[in-house]
Amino acid sequence: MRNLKKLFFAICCLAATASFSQVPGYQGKRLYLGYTNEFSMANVNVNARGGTSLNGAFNYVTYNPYYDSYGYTYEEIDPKEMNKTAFAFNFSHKLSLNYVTSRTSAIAFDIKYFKTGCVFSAYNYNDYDQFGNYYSMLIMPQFTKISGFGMDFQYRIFKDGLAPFGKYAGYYIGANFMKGQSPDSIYVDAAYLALTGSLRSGNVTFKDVPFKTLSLGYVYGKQNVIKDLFILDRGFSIDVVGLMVALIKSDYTDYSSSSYGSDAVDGYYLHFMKRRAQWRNSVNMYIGVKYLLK
Amino acid sequence: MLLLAVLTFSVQLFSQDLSKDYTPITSAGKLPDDFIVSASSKAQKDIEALTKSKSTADKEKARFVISATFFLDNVLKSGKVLYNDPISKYVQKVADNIIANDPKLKDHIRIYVVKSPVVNAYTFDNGVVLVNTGLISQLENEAQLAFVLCHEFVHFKKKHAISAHLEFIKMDKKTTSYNRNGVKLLLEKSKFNKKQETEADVDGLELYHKTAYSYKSIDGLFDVLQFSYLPFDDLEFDKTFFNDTYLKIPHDYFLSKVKDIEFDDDYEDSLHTHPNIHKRRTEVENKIKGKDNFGRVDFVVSEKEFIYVQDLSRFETCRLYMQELEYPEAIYSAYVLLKKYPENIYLKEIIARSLYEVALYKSSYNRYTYTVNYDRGIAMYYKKKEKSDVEYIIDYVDSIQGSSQQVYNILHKMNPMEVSILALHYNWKLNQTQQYSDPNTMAVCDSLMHILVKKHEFTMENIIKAIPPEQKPDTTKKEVVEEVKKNKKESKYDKIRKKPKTKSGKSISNEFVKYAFADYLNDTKFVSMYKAAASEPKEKKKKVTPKTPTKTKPAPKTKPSPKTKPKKKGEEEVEEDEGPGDDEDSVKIDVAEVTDLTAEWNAEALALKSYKALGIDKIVIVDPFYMKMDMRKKEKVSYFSGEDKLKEFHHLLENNAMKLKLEAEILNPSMFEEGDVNKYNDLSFINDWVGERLNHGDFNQALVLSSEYKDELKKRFGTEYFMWTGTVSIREKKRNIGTAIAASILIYSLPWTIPYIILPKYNTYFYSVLFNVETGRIELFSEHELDLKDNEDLLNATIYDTFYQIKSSPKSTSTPVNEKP
Repeated sequence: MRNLKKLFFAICCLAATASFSQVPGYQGKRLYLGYTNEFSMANVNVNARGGTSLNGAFNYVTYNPYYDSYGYTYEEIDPKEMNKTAFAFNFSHKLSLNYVTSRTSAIAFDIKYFKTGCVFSAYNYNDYDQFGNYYSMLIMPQFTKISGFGMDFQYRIFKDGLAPFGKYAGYYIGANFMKGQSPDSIYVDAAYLALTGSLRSGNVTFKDVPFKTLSLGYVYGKQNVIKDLFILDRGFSIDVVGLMVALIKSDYTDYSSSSYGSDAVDGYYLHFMKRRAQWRNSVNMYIGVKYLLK
Repeated sequence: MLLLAVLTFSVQLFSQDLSKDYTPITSAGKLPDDFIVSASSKAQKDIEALTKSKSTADKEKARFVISATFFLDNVLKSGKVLYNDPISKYVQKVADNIIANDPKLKDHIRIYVVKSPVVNAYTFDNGVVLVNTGLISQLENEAQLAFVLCHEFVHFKKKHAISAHLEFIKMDKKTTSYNRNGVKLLLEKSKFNKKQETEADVDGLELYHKTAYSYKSIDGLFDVLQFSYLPFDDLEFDKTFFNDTYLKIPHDYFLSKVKDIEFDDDYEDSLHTHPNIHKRRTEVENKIKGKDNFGRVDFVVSEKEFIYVQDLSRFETCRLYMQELEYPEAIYSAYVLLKKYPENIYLKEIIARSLYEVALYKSSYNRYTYTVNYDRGIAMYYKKKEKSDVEYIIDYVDSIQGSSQQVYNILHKMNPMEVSILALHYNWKLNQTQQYSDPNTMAVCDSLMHILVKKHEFTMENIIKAIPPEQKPDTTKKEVVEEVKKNKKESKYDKIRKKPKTKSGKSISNEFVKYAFADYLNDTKFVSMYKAAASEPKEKKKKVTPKTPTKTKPAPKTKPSPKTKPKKKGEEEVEEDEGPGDDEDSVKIDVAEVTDLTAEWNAEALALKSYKALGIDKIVIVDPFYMKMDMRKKEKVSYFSGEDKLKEFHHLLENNAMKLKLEAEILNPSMFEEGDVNKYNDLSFINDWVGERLNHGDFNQALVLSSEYKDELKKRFGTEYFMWTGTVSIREKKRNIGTAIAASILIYSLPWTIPYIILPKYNTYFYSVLFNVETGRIELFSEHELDLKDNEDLLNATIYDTFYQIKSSPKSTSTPVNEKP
């Protein structure tokens, strides 16, 4: 938060300095403020391995150290549920402040709130219950949406020399403060188990896992002026960091084996969430309407 | 009383005393409807009259009418067209003789004169007849003008323009697109055109019969047409014309015999729009055979008026040649007129300025290209001087027929220094005649002196104060051509038939330049002008790091070039060796001393386009331009919406100027009213100025000679800054197959590709050029090419940006005027 204040102050100073330069803007107006909606499509199957997922996979594995034996309880899972493709949009809602710094350039500062449209894939969670029994179970997808706040700083270069009018290309750098969920523990209802012999009522509790990501990339877009009052801005952005994460990491999978120990589990899921958040935000389209202030 | 009235009338009619001076012709009175009614209204009216239904044929007619009307409108509003001037009035009187008994012609024909040296007249189907001053200057008599008008009136009566257009469409439909530009089709179209021209000649005779004009004059008209490429008269060029006591141009600079004028009138005409002269002459002669010429005359309106009007046209022709940079033609034409008006100062100014421009181009036009050749792996650099348009015209000398070839020859043979000497000598003489009162002449003399001193290392010490030794007399026989005497009329065509022959005598050495200024050594003004030029420091040559030069094919194996010796102090500069480049005009240059001439030129161009802050408070916007095109349609130009957009553009210019507190007066002929004759004349002169200025291209030093009225314009408008601006908007055809395929594969890009496929594609080009009419410099060149629609916001953005650069003042001393974009 403190860093955010410093950054905002620096931008205002830059804007103030730039205001003394000989820059026409649009009819003399150089500052514009508005709303931008950034979106991308959720572009993978719920199960990344798509079509090759488990069929009636085992849900629970129990280990009885006394007997040194494993027990298996199966719960059938509809394969369609596992393999379905989710079509949804990830949305970011931005408040944008733009300022024309020269005939060919402008800077933009955005504060945004975003949420992933597509839940993340189901994954396997392994842990011990309160009795020290080991379980391995499949976490259903609806619990793992990611959301958060962020801010971007953009530098746009207008190719026609009529900033803020016309086509532009530029760079942006952003910081995103997200939170996801990670399984916390497994609670087994012993009485239910004793009564029914089933572990179906086994619960997984979740905890919020905050994390940060960095965005660094390019923007390409076009701005029009409407009725000398509003600017219509549309384009797309490419997060180079997000793309690199997605392309370079090869162990991307929705379903993988776990390791023992809670801390290791936390780190493991955090890693997945962070990567998937970056991948989801790597290519976005946006459209915005801004008001020409002065 | 009657005598007084006649005298008064004569004075009003012949209002210029051409014996002393010439004032370029201007229009007078109220602007006719043709000039002020919008083209769209005129087109609508003509379409309603012409078309009855919405059939394909009528749609074609409508399309033609629209394009023809807008084309004519552009011509009428260009400033090139005169109305109510002495020439137009005279031509109208001649026309009235012809159409007196023809009510259809009487109600529709409107005649205007166009300032153009081309020998031509043309008719539009709406009744407007345009007659060029070039034609008037070449005719022999009024009867010939009458026949030309009869010919044009038949074009109007028969609606030849539109019928040709419809016929050509039919012809195009019969051929495949592959053959559409083939020779066969062109031959067919040419045949149709010729048929119409013959009809105009023959039916024109029907109109001509009803007048009192002589049949015998018609044959001479075909000579006029045949020899229209020649100056309006053919007088032997006096070799002593430039000479005086001290300046004697040697015979070497003159041709012993000028090229004969070719007589072929039965030339191959299969691809011409008109039958050849022989055929036309024969056709007409057959029609008038046996016709009684008794009582028929060459002049019905007035011979005196014809001669006056013709002289005005000839003066105008001299002026137009200057605008087109045709200096040899301008000099020769002025020379011919000087025979009749020896004291006319305007003609002397024409010659003086023409000589100046030729001297300037020969001495100071330094445009080079450089190339790299590789000989056995070693790079060798060559530079080659580019020729200017003026030099190209002069170098055309071998193709020139008739006496004017002498002028071409002198200018071609003289080196840059010699032309500069000649130019300064002539200009200084003129300056003395004007009693040093004309600042333009003074400026020209000063410029020439600088050229001589700086470029040609001229010094007064080298002048020989003596009469040059006499040339050996020209002893060969020559047939002398009779000069035009005032009382005896002999036309150019009579002279052509006489074919003079001369042979040259021997000449003295070409050191005439050393004697040229002997007469001015005691002229204190001349001497002080020289001293001022000599005392200025020499310009330092700039060295710019080279860009990657253009590569040419490797040079063929040749002998190696001799090494250049290092220069000793005081040693004269040795001409650089010509290297074994592809071109014998290329000069080898040292790698270490390569000056990147292209980079320098590019830097100049970049500087021109860079962002400016000029601090100008007032400008005049001249003739704003707007064009809309739709490439999806058969008729690509959208005339009506273009006209509407021009009005919007005009208002946006006003609004944006007001926002920035920039005083901008807009000379828009589309908004003229009938009382705006002064604005129309101003527009005419300003457009003449810019036309000539653009002909000079990027050669900024060239004096723009249509600047007789620039001081008046500056006074009237209160500024020397004039801007031309315009917009072209094109709606493109959009082939979206690839995009559609890509979109179907990359589903995620649909929100982007769907609008791209659905929405139309536009290109808008906006330009502004701001000239300083005082210096001729381009102060601002602004252009934007955007693939966006020409909405109001786009126009506002571009106009505001341009005006901002004009109005905003340069920053404090630390910041240069030309900011980086």
